[in-house]
Amino acid sequence: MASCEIPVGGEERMQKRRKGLGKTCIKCKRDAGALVLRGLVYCRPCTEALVVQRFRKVIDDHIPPNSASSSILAIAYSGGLGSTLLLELVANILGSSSTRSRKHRWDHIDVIYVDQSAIEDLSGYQGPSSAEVQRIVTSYPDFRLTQVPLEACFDEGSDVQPSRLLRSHIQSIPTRTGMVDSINLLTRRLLERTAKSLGATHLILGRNMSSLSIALLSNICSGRGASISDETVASWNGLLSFNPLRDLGSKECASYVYWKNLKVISRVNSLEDWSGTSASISHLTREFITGLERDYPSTVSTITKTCAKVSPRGDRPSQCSLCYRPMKSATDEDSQQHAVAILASSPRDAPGTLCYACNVLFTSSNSKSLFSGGLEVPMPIWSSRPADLE
Amino acid sequence: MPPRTCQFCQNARAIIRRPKTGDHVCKECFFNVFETEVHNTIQEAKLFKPGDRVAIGASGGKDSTVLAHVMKTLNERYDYGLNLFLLSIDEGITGYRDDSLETVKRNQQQYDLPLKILSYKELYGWTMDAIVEQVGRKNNCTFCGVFRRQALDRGAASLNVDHIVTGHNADDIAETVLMNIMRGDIARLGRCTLICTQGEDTIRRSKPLKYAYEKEIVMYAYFKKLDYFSTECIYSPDAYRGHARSFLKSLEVARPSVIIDIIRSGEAFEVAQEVVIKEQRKCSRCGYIASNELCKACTLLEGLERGIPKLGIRDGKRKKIEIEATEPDGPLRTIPMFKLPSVMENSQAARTETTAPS
Ligand SMILES: [Zn+2]
Ligand SMILES: [Zn+2]
Ligand SMILES: [Zn+2]
Ligand SMILES: [Zn+2]
Repeated sequence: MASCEIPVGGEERMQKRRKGLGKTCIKCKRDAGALVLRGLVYCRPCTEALVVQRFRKVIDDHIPPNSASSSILAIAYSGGLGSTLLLELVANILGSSSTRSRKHRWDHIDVIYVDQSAIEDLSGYQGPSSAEVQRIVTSYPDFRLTQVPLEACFDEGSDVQPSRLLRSHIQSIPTRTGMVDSINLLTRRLLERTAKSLGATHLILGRNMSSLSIALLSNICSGRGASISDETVASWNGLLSFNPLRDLGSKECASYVYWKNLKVISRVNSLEDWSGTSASISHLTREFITGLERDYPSTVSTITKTCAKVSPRGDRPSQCSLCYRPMKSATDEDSQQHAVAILASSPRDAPGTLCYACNVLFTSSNSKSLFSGGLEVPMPIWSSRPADLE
Repeated sequence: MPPRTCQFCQNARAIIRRPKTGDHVCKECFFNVFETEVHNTIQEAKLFKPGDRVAIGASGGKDSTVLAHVMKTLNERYDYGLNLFLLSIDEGITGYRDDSLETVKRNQQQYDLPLKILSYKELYGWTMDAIVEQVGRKNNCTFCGVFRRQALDRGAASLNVDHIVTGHNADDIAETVLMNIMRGDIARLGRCTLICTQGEDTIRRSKPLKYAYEKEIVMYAYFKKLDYFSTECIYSPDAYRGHARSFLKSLEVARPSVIIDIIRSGEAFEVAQEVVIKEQRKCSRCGYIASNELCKACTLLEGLERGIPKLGIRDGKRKKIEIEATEPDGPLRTIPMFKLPSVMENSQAARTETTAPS
């Protein structure tokens, strides 16, 4: 339809970039500005204070301070910007002996690294070496490092190697965007399971406001609306996962990391660095949001705030055997299908009881797709086990 | 490559690869699945009952032309028992609406449906051309949107219909989900994927083409040789929406199901309970639904009449310049009193009776 006939708020509601900035820090009104954040100038000490304060606030929101029960913290580390900053902030703000916060007690802190080298050629992503990861993490004496390969999602006991199972799982997905989605899904799930097996009560993830808003939007584009709130905070089996950097933009995170001379050993973008038909939805979303941020700096915070206000609609009594999020019953999912699209042939069977979005992973193709129909898709360990045994 | 046969009838030669599903289909089977999907959508949502009086919002563009054609076809094929009307709004845009209205008038002949045209000029005393001359090109879509919504309801009331169907397609809805998330419009996000919206006493609005891909609508119109008008409004400057639209197009290349996937995402969540949606009341001046003393159209019209068009438009800080709802000093033009269609008054009376405590 004509674009103006589709009702949304007018453009005047979008906050445009402000012009004509002074050169002194807006906060202390004394030091020279070092950084422009959402149109305002900050000096270095004020930026660092801001990073610490916003990080601490989210931690306190999710882990009640001064609570009698002790918590065990697990940090998801990828070598990227966000998790590099997380290690530093946890070590110096929450954990270090000199400035240890009296508010929280940690029995120990685990750092979990998921090694994706078994699918390097499929994802086009070459991660940091195990030695590099080791060197970074052991530079913080209080942390214990656990490295776990992505193929640990698949069963050790079978006669096929887990890494083969992982590869054929990924290769059975017809689109590049589905492959990226699936790798993220397996990684997240493996992080949760590993954290749980280490006895952790809290798992913290390195997404900042920018990367979180990209994840939220690309999840919506992948049909994952029902579980969108889990991207920000998710609770599974007594383990709470959340993103302590969710109120910080990538700019202040990058500046902090740069000023503290921290080493970022992995770049997330490379995983998605494709274009055209084989571009992934998360890559396209990243490009879109980054472009939009230049003209409309408030976009990323609006996205995270909006998504924080939605919850799943209706009953979701079942659980998806792949992503583990609550879903409608399989018959409810099917009943709507004939209104949405009539197919010439019945789609190939999805492997297991899957939610709408996980089903799309295996069934939705594009013009470049090569169908490997008929082959059995290996599924991760958890998909065959009842939830209460987990 | 040898010519493919249609995946549905296994007989005729396939000439279309469906953008929505990737299936190779012949022309007849394409028409058939397209129409049947719309029919299934209508049935699934129980949109109509026999005897309903339904107005098709007709702009002369591809979406509403295809909608009119499909509605008429399905009404006959499946015996919906609907009384259909065409309802057009003349915004008064030279070189755009005057030409598209000619198309609508031809559609009236082709489909043999009664047509009502209501103009901004007769309702508000202003054409869009005159409004743009006064307010410039920046906020004119705000005026047009508010004025169109009310004009459609008033046109429907004068046709005595309580249900308007519009040509919003799947691409429009997916794009609106994205826009509402990016602009933080929680209330609209909650309802933009609904096929039918209805408040307490408003005229129902439905989108039977909710799951129809824009590309398929174009194909349908092309192969059916439908008579439609294809120019975008000359006054639509929303750059932000343009970004969202091209983003959606690039996603569609990566995975064609993305349009449906976004709609399914929007359908799968709801606005958290704490968010209060503003209560509706009636405009003290024209009787139309309002959330303040005056409805939006009356506020905007008063601004135009007084030469202060900023009235009622949100500024950058999301504050609103409010005015007192006093009677205007001069002889300002106002909008005639709004009356609900009599079909609705009857059904409301019936509702009151049945819900009265016994
Ligand atoms: Zn300062
Ligand atoms: Zn799932
Ligand atoms: Zn056919
Ligand atoms: Zn009014």
